[in-house]
Amino acid sequence: MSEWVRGTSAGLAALLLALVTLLVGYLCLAPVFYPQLHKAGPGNGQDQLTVNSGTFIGRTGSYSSLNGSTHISGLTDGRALFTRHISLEAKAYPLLRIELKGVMPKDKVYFIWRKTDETRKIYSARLQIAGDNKATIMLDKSSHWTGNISEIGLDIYSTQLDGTIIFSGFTFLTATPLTIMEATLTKWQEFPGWTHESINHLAGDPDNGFPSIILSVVLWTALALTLLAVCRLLIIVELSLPILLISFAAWFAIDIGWQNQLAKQISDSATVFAGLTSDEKFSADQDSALYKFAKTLKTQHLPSPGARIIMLHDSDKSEGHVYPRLRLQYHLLPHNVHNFRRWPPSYHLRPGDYILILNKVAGLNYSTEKQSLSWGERKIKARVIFESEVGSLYLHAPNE
Amino acid sequence: MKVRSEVSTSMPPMNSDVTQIVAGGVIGVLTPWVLGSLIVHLLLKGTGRSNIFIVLGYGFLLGIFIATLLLRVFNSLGISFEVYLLQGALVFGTMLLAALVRSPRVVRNTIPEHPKRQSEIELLCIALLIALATHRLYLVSHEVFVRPLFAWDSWMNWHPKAAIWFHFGNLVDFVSPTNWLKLSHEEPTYTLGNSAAWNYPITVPLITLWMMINTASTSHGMLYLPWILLSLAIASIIYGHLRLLGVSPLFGSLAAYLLLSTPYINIHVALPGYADIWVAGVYTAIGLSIFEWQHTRRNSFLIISILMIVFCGTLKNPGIVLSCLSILALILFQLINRTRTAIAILVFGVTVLILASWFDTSLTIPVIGTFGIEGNIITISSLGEFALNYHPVTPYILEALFVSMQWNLLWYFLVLTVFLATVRRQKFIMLSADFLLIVLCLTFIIFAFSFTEHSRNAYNFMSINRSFLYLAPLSIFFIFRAVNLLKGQHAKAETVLAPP
Repeated sequence: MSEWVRGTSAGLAALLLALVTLLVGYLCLAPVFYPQLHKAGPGNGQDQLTVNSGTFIGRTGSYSSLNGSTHISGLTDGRALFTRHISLEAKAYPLLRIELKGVMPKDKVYFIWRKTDETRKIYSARLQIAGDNKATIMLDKSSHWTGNISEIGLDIYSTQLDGTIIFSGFTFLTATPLTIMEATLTKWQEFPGWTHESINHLAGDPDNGFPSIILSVVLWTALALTLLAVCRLLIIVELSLPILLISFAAWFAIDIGWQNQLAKQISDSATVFAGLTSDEKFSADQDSALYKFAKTLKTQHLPSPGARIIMLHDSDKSEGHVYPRLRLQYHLLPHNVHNFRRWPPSYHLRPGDYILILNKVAGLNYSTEKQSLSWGERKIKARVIFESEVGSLYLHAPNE
Repeated sequence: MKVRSEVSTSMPPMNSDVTQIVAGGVIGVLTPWVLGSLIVHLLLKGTGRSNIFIVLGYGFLLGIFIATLLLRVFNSLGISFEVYLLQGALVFGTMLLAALVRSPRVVRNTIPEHPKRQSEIELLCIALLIALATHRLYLVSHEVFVRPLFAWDSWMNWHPKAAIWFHFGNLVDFVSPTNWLKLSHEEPTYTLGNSAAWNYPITVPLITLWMMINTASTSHGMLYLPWILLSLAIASIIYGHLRLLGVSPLFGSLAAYLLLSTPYINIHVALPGYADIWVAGVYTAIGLSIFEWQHTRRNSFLIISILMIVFCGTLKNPGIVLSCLSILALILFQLINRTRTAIAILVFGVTVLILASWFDTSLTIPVIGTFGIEGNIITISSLGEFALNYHPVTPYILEALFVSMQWNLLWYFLVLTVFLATVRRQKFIMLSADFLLIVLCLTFIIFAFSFTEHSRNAYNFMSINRSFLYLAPLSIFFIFRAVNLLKGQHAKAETVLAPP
């Protein structure tokens, strides 16, 4: 027992001491790494500037004011927009803190602004925020957060709101070591959801000059181990409990962050897909238009799987990872699809082959009168089976 | 030709009752698992080098492999993929094996389990790790069951073959997109949206097909239950082997937890359907079975390693290379007592390659196909043509391994362990199959990214992490084995495992 207590105490003490050392070091060295700490200085002498939501004007969407907050309950054409005029020097307030409640994963939220000298342009910064959450972002990571800001706003896009979004307002912050740390912690906790890159490389790695979580933890661990050695709490050549404890504490520190991100993702997925049948899940997914198109073809227009379907698409990368051509092939399973071409393979077509044109292919035209598809000097006989915005299906029937 | 009418007439892919799907999925993994575990148990029972974790871990991999082989056999015999026939064959095989094979006498493990009784704190820590691992498994499983198939290659390369075979009830042919256009016969012949995928090894789609047949569904998350269990099986194998080395239950549990909490492994379970995690699991099984065979010369482990080598070669193209590297490791460890012979063979091999390159040579190797070297162009008919030119991908590899979050601190731990083993003059720790397979795989990965056109997949991070996934579980085993020795405890146990 005493071995455990001694080892654990030494390890924890080293970790704590290293953390304090790092924090003190950060506070001392912050001006070196963040030059804006010197340059910045609030124009009006305030450390922060709070702009309440009540001062914003609703441009689109339905909302009401309650207890000093704006309760957004509906969208107009999929959008809710709130703006107000303001006059502030961008460089005086390079950070923004925002608190929003009730944002769902499918909602896209932006902070937008207009500059005094470029009144026709609107700039935006995406706020990775979901649930009951607050975030601090570094606006000066955008090259457009400069000069005098004349108008600011909150812009929300979604298919529809599930419940009410509560918007309290914005707080513009000066650059101090603490506010920069606040923004870094926000960045570390961000998880923008699964992307098609996630299976290859974890999305959400800190970028734009934010320190890497891994390198930060490695620095902390290395410092703790060095402190242990320096303090002679152990014999250096002996791998003992404190070293193991420090190493695994570092693992668990990162693990907690990953666990939170994963839990957030699971919650987001549940919001969209939980309790749905397979059909409903695909209909609720990002590519629901492709899915519904495929479903219509399969249930109403195509024969039993096996017949050849040649999918044509207007893409420069006929063999590349073009999402719609590949995803539509998946949704059409178990049908027999070839999807590598822009033009019909006239020399290889067989009677009974189907031609599926994804969206439109420029230069490929269908003549209802002649019942033919033509491109350039060439044409083939084809009868239209189904047409929609997503795509059109034709049957190659030369003998009809 | 018998087709499954429910799929052919309606969209979405037809789902039967959820209870039937879940029950079918559970039975679908249980019956092969039982058969696989029985075979492993019978193989290892007399070796004195086995425990329940090893039996269940290897048993899962072997069972799933047998299920896919059964599908191949049914197809070649022209028998339709009926669930009762397939399951009946497995159950019959299991019962026959249990009844007929004379069970060898149980031999107690030659290495005693951790000698010390667990303290309350250790037991508490183990309970905590199990709780954390369970929670993590719940999170990734939740994603598997709730989200429709998401990961790109899953729905582009692997799932389609399974769905088409499920529909037709046999392994319909796939051809290249060019040949597909030229087809003149009426029999359904398919191609895929990735122009190379038609020719990929088929075991992974066969695993999905096996689950489709058992669940009677082509879209339910239950299809990917084997991906969830695979991560557990890898953890189980690692834990089982560490325990055989006399590692304490707490330290072994920590190793298992590190595996189950590595973000990139979580991702490949939560977004299932890729082949890479199977390659990683099977390569780990190869490494650890060769490790046991190297140290104990129990031929049962040699048999298991050969089975796993075959399995690995049917999973994915890189799996074929890893199988070859594993065979090389087996040969090396057969010659381990004849160091001069081993070195002579290596020197001879390198010389042959150089001369072959000089004289533009080619030869045909079974499974691999034609292997040719012409200057800096290497041609392997089953894999393609590779022009060898240097590509500076090192910064991208370092960023993926040491800066991004997907590996937590795994590669730091590996580097630190190798460093400590070196400075403490304990290099013998590295003269083992696990470390050799790590080095061989690492060499292959760095060579492929630095000297072939695969470098483009490093610049965009498309496959760096997937490649390093192959050696991640083995690295965790090595780290814990080495640290356990470097701690100065249980050195005696390892001494028993010194090469004869």
